[in-house]
This record gives sequence, structure tokens and C-alpha cells, in this order.
Amino acid sequence: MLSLRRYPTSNLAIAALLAILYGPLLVHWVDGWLHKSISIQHEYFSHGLLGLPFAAYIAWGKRNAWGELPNRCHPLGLLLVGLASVMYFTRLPDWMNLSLPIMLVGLCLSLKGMAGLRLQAISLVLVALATPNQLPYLIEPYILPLQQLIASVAGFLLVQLGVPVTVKSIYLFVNGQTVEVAPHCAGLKMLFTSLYVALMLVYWTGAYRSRLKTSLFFGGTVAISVVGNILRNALLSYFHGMGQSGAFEWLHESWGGDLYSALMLLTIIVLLRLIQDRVPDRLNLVVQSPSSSV
Amino acid sequence: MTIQPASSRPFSSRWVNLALVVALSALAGMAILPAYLSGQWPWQTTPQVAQIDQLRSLQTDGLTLPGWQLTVAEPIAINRQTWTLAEYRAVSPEAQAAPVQQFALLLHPQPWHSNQPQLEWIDLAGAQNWRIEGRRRLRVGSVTARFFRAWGDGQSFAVVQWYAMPQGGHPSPGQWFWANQRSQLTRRTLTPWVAVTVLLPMEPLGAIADYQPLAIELTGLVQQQLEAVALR
Repeated sequence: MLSLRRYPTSNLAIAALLAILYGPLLVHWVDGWLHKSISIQHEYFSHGLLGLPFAAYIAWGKRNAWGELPNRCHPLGLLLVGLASVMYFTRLPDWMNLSLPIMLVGLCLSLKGMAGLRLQAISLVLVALATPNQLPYLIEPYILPLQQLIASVAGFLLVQLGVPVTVKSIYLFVNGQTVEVAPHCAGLKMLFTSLYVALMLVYWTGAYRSRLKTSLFFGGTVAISVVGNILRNALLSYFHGMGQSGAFEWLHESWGGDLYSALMLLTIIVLLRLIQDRVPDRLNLVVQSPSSSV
Repeated sequence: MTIQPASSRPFSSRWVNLALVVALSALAGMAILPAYLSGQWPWQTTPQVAQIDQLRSLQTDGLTLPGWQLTVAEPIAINRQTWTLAEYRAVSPEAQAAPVQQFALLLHPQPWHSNQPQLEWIDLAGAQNWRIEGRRRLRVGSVTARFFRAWGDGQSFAVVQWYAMPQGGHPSPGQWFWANQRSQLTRRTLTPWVAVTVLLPMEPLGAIADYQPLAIELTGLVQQQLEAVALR
């Protein structure tokens, strides 16, 4: 009880009320991620299984700094708490989900002002990016070029290996079998997950302090994700076209998919190690005088 | 111009904390405590499509159109989805005067409450091996549709496509998405949708403009019948 003494009762009450309001919702999210039982859009945010505990851990690590901040209320905070309450009160899952990050931002601003928001920024960003919403549904119609790119490069690779394949738009035809590079197959989900994990790693390793390293790392993550998906779709088309449905199922639905994700994340970690070891914090471009021109 | 930091503390922290506790308690009491008692969480009792039965019978029976005789209605599978293919022949004198005496209608009513319109147009074009040319928009009353010439496998069609909803239609899933959010917030129901494709057989490499008047007429007719039968 001694340690609780340092926190005013009202803060404990707010924490308890947050648990009452959002505890069951978070259980519902996690259950949906583990059992893939809600919707494809919900699955896009399954990186929350890693990110939400990590965000909580960071926030917990900052509890002393939080306590030392002066209590001051930014009026925008109260406005956001009101907005989040209205969204929660609709009792519609999409809006209830989105109310969580808005509520948390609102509470930080209401209790500690802008300094509180800055202190908890990374946790809030991690929570916001793990909050299931309908954004993937809204952007799916616009990623057709990415699907076409993946289909044509995967087709090209298979032709190099001597597999008879025809590519039309987002379809690969192998031996009369059709494989469609659907939006979620085009690695949009894996891209989201990779970028999210990259964000966590950049914070964890402190690489975010160098803009050069951060941009290289995020660019590399996107490239790894796209290349990985080309290879994955080439393999899927090969298995499907050659009638190896067991192998297709393994890579598409079963633990082959998990293995693929694990390999991808491992590659990202290796990339970050390489960048940390080989890349300077900033480029010092020295203009050399043309004294020894030939 | 600088923003005065003084504006960030007009309230004493004690009153703010008290207000937050009161507000969150009220929210919890109204919005979630009943669910703790009943075990019926809000995400288990989500809005549904009121017209699901009509949509399902539309899938089996096809759609009747005044002035046109329905000759065939059969389910066909396109990329793991079931569409209803219906063929029509002109019977009324006005329709018989039209340049096209026959056309086909492909309908894909939403199969179940949770289904959202997605990539129906790409799936259909892929399955039919279509090459698409002369893409343009048609506006017929409250319906916006995509209109183009498709050719593949030795046949050409003038094609009209849109997602039919109550009070209108649009080819982009985004329009359905926002209409659906509105109906959830105001009426706690989902907006029903039917993917519609009108196929007018045309001369190979014929001019699509010749088929536009009939396309406009049929778009209005199909939307009107869908609203009367399945999207009320």
C-alpha cells in the first residue's frame, strides 16, 4: 500500500474505470487475434498482441516521471475525453475501438497537459496503431498496382525456373490452376506488422535518435516486406499449379505462414543490426576542393 | 505569434480529476455495466441487415423486370463467390424497338450480414478474361455506375456496374462504407448491398456510345426493381 500512497485516489479511480470500460474490449480484441474469429480487418492489427503489452511496459517504466510532472489540464484533453465517451456510447464496435486511443490521449492532456502527452507519446502511438479499425478495408481498392507488381514479378521468377505460367493483372495461371494475389495476400497485413515491429525496434534500440538510420531502416523494412511477399506468392503459385495442395495449405493457412512471418521479422532484426553497426548517425558530406584535378 | 502557455491551466487539477471520475463513472454505468450483468457485450450484438431474407431469395429467384422476359436464372461461381446470372428478352413494344433485344444481368447480393463489398469488379473481369476499354461514368438518378466495353473470349459487351443500396448506388465500396456507418449510427442497421453487372452484347469493336441510352434505361430499371424487391 505504501507505494500507492504516492498517487492520488482520483488517479487510481480513473485507472480502475478505464479497466472496467476497456478491459472486456481488450479481451475481445485478443480473443479475435488468437482465434481469427472477428474479421480480416481485425486481423490486420494482430501486431497488438506484441505492441499493447510493450506500450504498457513503457508507460509503467515512466510512472515516476509521470508522477513528477505538474498537474495541469489542457482544455483539448477534456474535449477528447468527451469525444471518446460519445464514441464509446454508440456501442458500435468500430467506434468503441477507436475511442480507446482518443480516451488515453484525452486523459494524458487532461491530467498533465502537453508535457504528459509528450512523455507518453510512444505508448500512445503504439496503442493507436494497434487499435482495430476499417482503414485496411478503405485502402484495399487502392493497392491494385502493388498486387499487379507482386503477381508479375512472381510470374517472372517462376518462368525463370521453367514453370509454365501466365500472368494477367493479379492472377497467376499455372497448369490450369489460378492463384489470385488478393489484397491481404499482397502482404498488406505483413507490411503493417513489419512496420509496427520496426517502430518498436527503433524505439527499443534508440535508433530513432538518428534520422538517417531510421529512414534507412523503415525503407528497408518496406522493401523486405514486398520482396518476401513476391517469394511467398511465387511459392504459393508453384505449389498450387503443381498440385501440391498439402504444401499450399501449409504455407497459406498452417504454420508455414507463421514460419514465413518469423523469418521476415528475423530479417528485419538483422537489417537493424547491420544499420546500427555500419551506418553513421548522419552523413557528413565534405565538399572536396578540386585541387588535384587531372 | 506565440501561443500563451497560460491557456493550458485554467482549471484546478482537483476539479478536473473529480469531473473525469464522475464522467467516466457515468459512462461505465450507462454503457458497459449492464453488459457485465447480462453477459451480452456490445460487440456480440452488432447491427444486422434487415433485408437479408429478401437478398437471399433474390439470389435464387433472380429479378423480374417490367417489359423484359426472364428466360434463364442460374447461380454461377466466380472466384469462390456465387453470382446469379439472369438473361432477359424484350417483350414490350418499346423494348423491342431497342437496338438490343437481349441482355444478361449478373447479381451478387450480399451473402450474409457481415459481408462487405470488396473487389467484385476485379474478380469478375479476371474470371471472364476481359479487356476493358472506353471506361466512363454513368449518372442515372441517384445511381453512379461504371460503364465500359469489355471483350474477351470472342465476345464483346457494353458493361454497367454498380453497388446497389437503398436510395442509390455507386461502383466504389467506399460510398457503401460511409452509408453503412451512417445507418449504423442513426438506425442501428447495416446498409444492404447488391453488386450489379448489366451485360449488353455488342458488335465486336462497336461504338460504346450507341449502347449508352439503353444502358442508362436499364440501370434505372434495375435499381428501381431492386429497391422495390430487396432493398426496402
